[in-house]
Amino acid sequence: MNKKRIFFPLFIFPLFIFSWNFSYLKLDSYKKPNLSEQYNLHSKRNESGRQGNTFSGRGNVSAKPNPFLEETENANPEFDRNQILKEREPVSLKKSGLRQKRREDSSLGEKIGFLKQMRPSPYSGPRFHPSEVLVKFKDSFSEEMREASISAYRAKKLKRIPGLNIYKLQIPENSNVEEMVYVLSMNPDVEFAEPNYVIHTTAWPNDMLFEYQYALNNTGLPIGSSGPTGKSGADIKATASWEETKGEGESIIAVIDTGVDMEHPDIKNKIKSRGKDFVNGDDDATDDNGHGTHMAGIAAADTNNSEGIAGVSWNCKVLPVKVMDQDGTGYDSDVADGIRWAADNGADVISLSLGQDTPSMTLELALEYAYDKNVVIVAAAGNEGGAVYYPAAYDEYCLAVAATNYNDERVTLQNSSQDPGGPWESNYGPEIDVAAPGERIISLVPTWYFGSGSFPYGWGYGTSAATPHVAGLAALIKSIKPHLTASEIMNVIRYAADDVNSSSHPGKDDYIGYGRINMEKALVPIIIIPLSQIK
Amino acid sequence: MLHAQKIKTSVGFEYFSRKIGWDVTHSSNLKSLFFTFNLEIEFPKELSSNTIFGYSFSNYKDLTFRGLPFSLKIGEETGTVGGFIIGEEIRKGLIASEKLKIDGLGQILGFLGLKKEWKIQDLAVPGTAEGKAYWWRVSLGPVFTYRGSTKFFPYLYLNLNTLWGTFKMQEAVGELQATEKQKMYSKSFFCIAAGFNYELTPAFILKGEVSLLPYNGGSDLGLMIKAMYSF
Repeated sequence: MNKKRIFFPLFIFPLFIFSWNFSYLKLDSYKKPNLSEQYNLHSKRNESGRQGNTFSGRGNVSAKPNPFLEETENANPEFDRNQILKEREPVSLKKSGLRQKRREDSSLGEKIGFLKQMRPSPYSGPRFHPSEVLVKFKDSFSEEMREASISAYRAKKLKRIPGLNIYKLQIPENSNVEEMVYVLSMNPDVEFAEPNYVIHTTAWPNDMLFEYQYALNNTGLPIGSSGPTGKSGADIKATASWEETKGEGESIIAVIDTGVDMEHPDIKNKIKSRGKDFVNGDDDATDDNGHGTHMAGIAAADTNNSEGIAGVSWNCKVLPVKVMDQDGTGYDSDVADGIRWAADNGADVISLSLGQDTPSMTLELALEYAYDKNVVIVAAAGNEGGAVYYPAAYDEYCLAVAATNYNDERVTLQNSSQDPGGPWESNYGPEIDVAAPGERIISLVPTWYFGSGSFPYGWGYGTSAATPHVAGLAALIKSIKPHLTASEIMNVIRYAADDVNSSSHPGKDDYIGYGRINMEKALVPIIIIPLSQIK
Repeated sequence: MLHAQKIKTSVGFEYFSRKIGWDVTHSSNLKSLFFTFNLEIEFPKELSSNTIFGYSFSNYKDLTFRGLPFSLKIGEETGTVGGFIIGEEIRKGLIASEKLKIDGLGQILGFLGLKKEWKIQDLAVPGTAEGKAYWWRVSLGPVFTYRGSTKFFPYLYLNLNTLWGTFKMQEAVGELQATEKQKMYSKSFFCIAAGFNYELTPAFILKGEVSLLPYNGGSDLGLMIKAMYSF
């Protein structure tokens, strides 16, 4: 008798009996969000009318002079270049009509409540169906040939998605998904083959303006009243990463800026201490400009509190450090002192949405001091379309952050020409590490900013707004991996980035560095593939 | 001085699934399938020693390394690690009557995993992971064998049964290099095994066993088939 006939079943039999994979696909049933309802809500807001409350350009200020817009006009050019550390953001904070709408639209609360009910529990099931793959054959491959090819692979056609011509196949019993995807991908008639990934709901905060925070979760819906529509998925993958962590209160982000409005309802519970004011020389870093509050909100606004916005790091704390005055200007000395003070007072991450174009040994020494204390430093590249500003340009010690927009494009003069503050361009150079959304970013403004009783939220623009997204991510990494060094965290952020301009500048480039940050890749465990299968 | 009275050799397949905990809150299933070659020597006074060699495929699906710069998770169908099995089993007859025999049986079995490499995909720089695992399983308890029939001998093996091990994962992504050791331990500690020995001939015996290992919230399963030949 043929020996193979004896030994093959002997060896294979137990393999069938003791099936290797007992996993079951289990999806919690949930009600899908009613996008049309959300969209209607959005449309209603659009109809609410904001003409009387909108800053349309430089100097067009009603409630209080806008320091972001004023400072470039009033600045002394000499001080500009040599001494004054300027906050140069072409930031335009627009007064939102949402406050009035919130008052008028009594059903708004109910609709937010609907989202709250939608909030899922963390998903921990399988990543893809254990016995299915999706495959798309090239259009030139006839349907008969496709069917024949599927049979040749001993796969079973379960479904063909009409219009897309994508086949859902059941793989043969003795193969696995990775192998099948690999084998199909090798077929020159196959356009792509991939696992049938499990879709699941993600952590979804109930903050009422979250739907406008395209940077965190871009649905492709309009970004605010009469705002542009972004590209769905052009975001930093915040919701997926929040499944893994929402941060810990022990992780502290020092926002070294114009101070923070510590009475703002959407951040007052996130303040570590009243901080330090190096402009006025006291221990109260209250914001008299607005810029710092906006930045702090992006990084760590109070989240899932049914109002305002969501911060990148839900549970991390903010340490306010004021180094710029109400005009948004300051000195290297104060910034250096602020960095030193933050490093000595428990900061894990320092967010610097500021800069100037001249090297400063003072700044470099301060950065080195904080870096040696294992503090992750994140700094804005600047918005002049020129060389990377300092301190961002001190490559060894900090992450230099460029700005992208709602379409995952680097912000340029062309694609920002509609901005209320005028066109601007993200600085570039070899020092750029990563990019983050910096166009039309909604965040907090001080409660006094648009006048007493106004709705304290507004839009911001610039690499300033991009920077706290990265700072928030750094704080989340630090909170779940406190043993990592600052250098390691910086590399995790770099390597996890999505190379969104790979078609024109593949790999690390001078415009967006390694790419737009991706919180999911940086935080959520990556499923590894055996090297043997890749080969 | 003990003199061998009988030598038995056997080949066997064994499979088990074991719930393992690995850090404070997380757990997953370790599944192992192994092929063994056994050399059993019987000594006087109902004492026997069984030395076990073999090869195993151990599956560490869902084992996750969150201490590495990039957290890594062993996937659904990519977590099988090959390795060698070594072990020793000691059996001592305790009580024997015409129809019932009670033995004391202790076993230690080790899995020494071979190195396995994985790729970390979709990052801005190339990344690889390299893992190596081992585990030890120890069982000890009485075996109740019914000897009422001539060829078919069913038995019940009640034993304390524990498993522990380590999975060492090394990660290399760009300039990042890190290692994490994940210690694991079985959630079940008690095993009820039911099996039989069937004498096809006086020298050739077939053995089968099913084991159940309950733990808080579920139970693990084990299966074993063995073909023994005596000299």
